[in-house]
Amino acid sequence: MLADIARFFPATVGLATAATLLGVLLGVPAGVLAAVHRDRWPDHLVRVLGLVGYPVPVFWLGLMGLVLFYTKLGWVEGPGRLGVAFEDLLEPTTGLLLDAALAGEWEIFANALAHLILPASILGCFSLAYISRTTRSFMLAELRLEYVTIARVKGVPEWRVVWRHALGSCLVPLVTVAALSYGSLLESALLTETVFAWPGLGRYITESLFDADTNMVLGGTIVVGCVFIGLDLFSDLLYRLLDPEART
Amino acid sequence: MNKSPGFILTQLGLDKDKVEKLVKALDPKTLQIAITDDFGSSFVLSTLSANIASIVETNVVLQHEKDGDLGNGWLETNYAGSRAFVLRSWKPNESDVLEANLTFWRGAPSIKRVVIRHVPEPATQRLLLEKGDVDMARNLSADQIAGLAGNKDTVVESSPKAEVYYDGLNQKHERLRNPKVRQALRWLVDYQGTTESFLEGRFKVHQAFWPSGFAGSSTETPFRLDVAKAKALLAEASYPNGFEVSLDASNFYPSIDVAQSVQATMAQSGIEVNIVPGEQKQVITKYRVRNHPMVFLYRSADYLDPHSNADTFTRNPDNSDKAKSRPLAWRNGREIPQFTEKTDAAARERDPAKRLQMYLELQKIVQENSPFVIVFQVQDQPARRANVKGFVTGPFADQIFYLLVQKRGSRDRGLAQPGSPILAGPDPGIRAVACDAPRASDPRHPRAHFLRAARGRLRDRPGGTDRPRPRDRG
Repeated sequence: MLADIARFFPATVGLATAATLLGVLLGVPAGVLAAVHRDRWPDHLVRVLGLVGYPVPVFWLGLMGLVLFYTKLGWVEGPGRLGVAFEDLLEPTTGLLLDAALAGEWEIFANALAHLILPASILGCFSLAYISRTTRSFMLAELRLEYVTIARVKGVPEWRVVWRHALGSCLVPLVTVAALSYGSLLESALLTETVFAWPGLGRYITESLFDADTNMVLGGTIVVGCVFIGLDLFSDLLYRLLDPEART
Repeated sequence: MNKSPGFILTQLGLDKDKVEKLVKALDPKTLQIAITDDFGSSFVLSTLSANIASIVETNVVLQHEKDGDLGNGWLETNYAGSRAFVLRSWKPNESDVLEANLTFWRGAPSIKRVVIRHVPEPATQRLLLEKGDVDMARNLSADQIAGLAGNKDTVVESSPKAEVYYDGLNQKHERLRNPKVRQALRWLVDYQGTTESFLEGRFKVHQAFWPSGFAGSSTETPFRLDVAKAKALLAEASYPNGFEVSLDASNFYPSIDVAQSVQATMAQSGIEVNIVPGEQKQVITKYRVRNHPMVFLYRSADYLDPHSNADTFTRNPDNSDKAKSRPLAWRNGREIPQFTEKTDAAARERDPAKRLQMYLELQKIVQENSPFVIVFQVQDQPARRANVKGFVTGPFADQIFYLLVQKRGSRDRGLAQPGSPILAGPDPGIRAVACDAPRASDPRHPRAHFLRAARGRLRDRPGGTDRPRPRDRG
């Protein structure tokens, strides 16, 4: 069982990490913009995108993404982690992207990255929706505080007030949000993995469930649980770096 | 010989203690197999055609022997033979890679490599096929097959499989023991409606235990959905208002869909069917100890002879709870000494024509009065790109032949394979091997050739290796 988990887990970690990165890199600025431009079109746009991204079934979104971006437009590679031509060329040791980079195989790296973009984007939609909405609400609360008004009165540039002072204060809760979002993606990746023929832990647990392989299901679930605990611990440790009060 | 599929050979009198005496290599091209019972030659030859035993390179497998397993564990994921393709890698639930055996005795295959991808979602398989990133999709659903109609780049093949679906009626339940009730249930299945809608193409109506397309099969389909006739039979059986009964069905396609259809049609006669869905292993475990009232399952033949199914549908030498042999007739509690004798006699009959006639009679008996309502036969529908030809599937899940596959152009793609438990592992045929297998260290061996190519690409990255770039798509 450990050998199986060691084989499937890196694929899920790669997918969830890419999705979370997308969610954070796009979701945080989107949330900030929505808060700054409250009740204007950027705010409406982010809220609508958040509403659409969250409830739409990932199964449907994945298939539609494949039809549009893979079949019709040809912008991304199709299902699977790697093109068939590269199958079995690289001995897996860690993650596929890392293996290819360490081996200096940039053609394989590029192909694997092209396969990762669509499933990570689809999965990242959920992370993006969640993170942008929470960032917006954190920022709205923060922008009402007196220290923000004082900073503006003192003539601090608006971008510095928003991106440095207000967002800086929001970073602590946002770290927890991002960590929990990462954990959720690990467990919710199973549908994305099914649609994209992604050989990850989510699909492995699902197929074990259908085969009534209780040990495998328990093993996979324990791994996801441990990752949740680890992420929680990691975000607590990050508090000390981000929040001066936590260091005292 | 002491593993479970070994029964196909042990029924001929072979076992692990006698095999060395009964099976002898007379010369490099002649194998003599002695049998200890008086079976007909057609039966014996059919059992030997089963893909359960292979000749392996003794020295190679014995090098990997562990705890006296004769290398059996190693062979699960490795190769030691000389068939048309060599198993290059096997990653469960991910992919298999086969490479051409350039020293194959019938000549090297025209394709150098077969990559089998595990693609659980049929819609994704279809997208891959239409895009041209795979050459074949093995398990498209009926709606996906219909969606390919009109696509000139793809072709859908169709071939019957030696697999039938049936309702099993446990004779330990009083109501289901009534012959009139069993007869009524045969008229309460919408055979045509289901095979013309959600099962279209993948299943066809078949009502005998031996699948059509094979010698000795009965193709008669006397039953259709007839609620009025079923109601009359139920009235004769003293159940004019029907009754309540449970139906076990696995969550494996298409069992639940068919169970729901049966539930709807039986409700028209007053029979209230409670579907008990379960994971396939659970359903079969319950079935094996006769704890089901009704069950919807399939029977896949073990070898291409009607005795393979007769042996389980019409033979039950001991109906007691402690019986050692537990065929389907036992699982449904059917005590049938007369048919057991008839089945044994058919296996021993030496006249092939008379023998097939005996099986036709047995099929008629099961069709008319037995605890089996046989409903469908499976049809394999592999879809392929139009430029790929020569792919052959046999009637069994482990009979898949890539030897004759030809592909126009030099593209190197894969074969999408679904998450069906039957096909998820490597093709057992791939591991079927012969004694003159070249070693992996032999420079003529295809594995050595591809290893060199792969290493060259990875380390030196020279141009013009055997492996095409992913954008080389015709």
